[in-house]
Amino acid sequence: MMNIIEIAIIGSQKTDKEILFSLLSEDPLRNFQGLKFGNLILDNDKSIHFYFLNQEKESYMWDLIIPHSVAVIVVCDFDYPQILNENLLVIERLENSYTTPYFICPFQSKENIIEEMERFGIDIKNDNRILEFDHKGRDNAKKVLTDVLSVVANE
Amino acid sequence: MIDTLVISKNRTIFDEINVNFPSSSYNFEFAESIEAALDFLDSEGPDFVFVIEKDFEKITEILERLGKVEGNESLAIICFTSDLSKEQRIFLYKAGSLDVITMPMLKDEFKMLYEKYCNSLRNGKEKLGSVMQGKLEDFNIIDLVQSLEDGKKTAILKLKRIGDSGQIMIKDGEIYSSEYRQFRGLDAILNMIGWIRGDFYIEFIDYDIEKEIEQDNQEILMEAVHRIDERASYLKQLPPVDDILLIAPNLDMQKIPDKDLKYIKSFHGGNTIYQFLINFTLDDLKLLDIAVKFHSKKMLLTREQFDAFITEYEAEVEKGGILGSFSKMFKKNGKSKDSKSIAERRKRDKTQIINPNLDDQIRESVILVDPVELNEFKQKIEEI
Repeated sequence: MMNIIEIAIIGSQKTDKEILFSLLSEDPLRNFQGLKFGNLILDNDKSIHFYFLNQEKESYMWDLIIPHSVAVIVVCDFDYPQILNENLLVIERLENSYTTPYFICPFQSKENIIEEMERFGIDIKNDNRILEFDHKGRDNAKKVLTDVLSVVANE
Repeated sequence: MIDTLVISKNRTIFDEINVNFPSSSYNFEFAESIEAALDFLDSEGPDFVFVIEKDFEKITEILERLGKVEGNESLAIICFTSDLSKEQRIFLYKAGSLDVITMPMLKDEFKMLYEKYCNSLRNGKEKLGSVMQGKLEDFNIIDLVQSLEDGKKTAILKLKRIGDSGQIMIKDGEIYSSEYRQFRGLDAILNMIGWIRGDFYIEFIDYDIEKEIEQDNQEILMEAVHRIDERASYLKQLPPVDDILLIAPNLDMQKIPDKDLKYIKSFHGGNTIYQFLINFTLDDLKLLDIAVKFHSKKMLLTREQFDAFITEYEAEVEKGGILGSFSKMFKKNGKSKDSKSIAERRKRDKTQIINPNLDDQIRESVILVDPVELNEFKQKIEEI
C-alpha cells in the first residue's frame, strides 16, 4: 500500500502558497471545490499530498483536511498588515479549532521577522515554527519540508 | 591612440598603470594635483580622466573643479576611491563621474576594466561617420521625424531606453515602417511616442524596405499628437512618473481580480509609473488606464501616504491590537497539548474518508504519524 502523509497549506495569495510545491514537482495541481491538490511522489511507496486551502472564514474543507494532516503551513506576508491580519486570524483559528501543528512560512527572511518581532518585545529566535523559505530554491523548499517533519516527529 | 590623464598624489600608482599598457596604443599623462591637471586640460583633451583619491572630500573638490573646465561635458571621468557609502557614490556620479571604482583592485582587473572603457570608446568613434546620436530629453521623436522628413533622408531612427528599444524606418523622408516589442507599424510608433527620456541613434544607410504604414507622415504625426494628449490626460491623474508608488498596506489581495494581480504586484516594494510602463508589453494607454484605476481606488499610495498610513498603523499596534495577536502567535510555543491524542486523531484508515468531493484515488491510504516513518519521508525528500 502506498504510504502517504498529508500537508495543508494556507495563504491569502492564490498563487504564492503554491510555490513550495512547484519547486519540488512539475506536476500540475488539480482543482477541487474549495481546494487545490498536489501529489509529490517520493518513491514507489511514499508520497506527500499537499492540500492548498482557501483562507475564507468558513470552509468545511478545513475540517476534512486539517485534522488528518501532519502539519499545516501558513504562508504569511509581514509586509502588508491587512494580509498579516488575515494570516493571524487563520492562526487563531488553527489554535482554537485544531490540534494539528502549524508552521509559519514568511515571505521575508527569518532574520527580518526576528528583528521585526524584537521591536514588539517578542523573542522568536528559537521558535522552530518559523520556517526559512526564500521562495526560489528547490533545496530550500526541501529543507522547509524536512524541518516540518523533524518538528512533528519530535513532538 | 587613447589618451588618459591620471590625477593622483601617488606617482607609483601612475607608473604601475603606465607599464601595463603598450605605448603605441595608449598614452598616459600624470598630474600630481588638480592644479597640474587643469593646466594640462587647458591645452589637451584626453579621452579619460582617472581621479585616484581615497578621501571623499578631496575627490568631490577635484570633481567640482573639473566641472568648471570649459567643454568638460566630453570628459569621461572615472573615480578610483575607497569603499564609500552608497550616498557618497551617488554623489560622485551626480558630480560627473562616469564610474566609481573601489580600490584596491587587482592589476588584471584594472586591465580588463580599462580595455572595456577603451573598446566602448572605439566602438563609439567608429560609428560617428554614419550615426547621429543624442538624448530624447533634448529632441523628442516628433522633432526627429520632422527633421528627417525635411531633409528627405533615408535612415533608421533607433530609440533606446533602459531595458527597452525600438526603431522607425524612414526612406526619403517618409515613414515606411516601425518595430517596438510586439508592435509593428503605426502601433509601434504610438507606443514609443511618449518616451520622455532615453537615447536616439540615427543611422544613415540606404536600404530597400516595403512601406508597411499606409498613412503619410502628416497623418502619423497627427495620430501621435493625439496620443500624446491622451497620455497627458492619464498622467494628469497620476503622481509624477518618477515618484515611487507602493501597494496600500490595507489592500486585500484576495479581492483583486486575477487579470489585475500581476500589475498590482509589480508595485510590491515600490515602483514608479515610468518603470511600470516599461515592465509590461501591453499597450501603454491600457497600462496607464490600469495605473489610474489603482491610484484612484487608493490601491497604490505615494511614499508620503504610505508612511502616514504606517505611522497610524503603528500607533494602533502600540495600543495593543495586533501586538496581542503577535504574542498569541509566538508565545504559545510551550503550549501543553496532549501529543498522544493528536497522534490518535491524525491516524486514520480508509473507513474514515467521507469527503464526497475528493475522489477515492487521492485519499485511498493510511496517514502515517510514526516518527520513524516520518524520518524515512525526510530522507526521501532529501533524495528527490
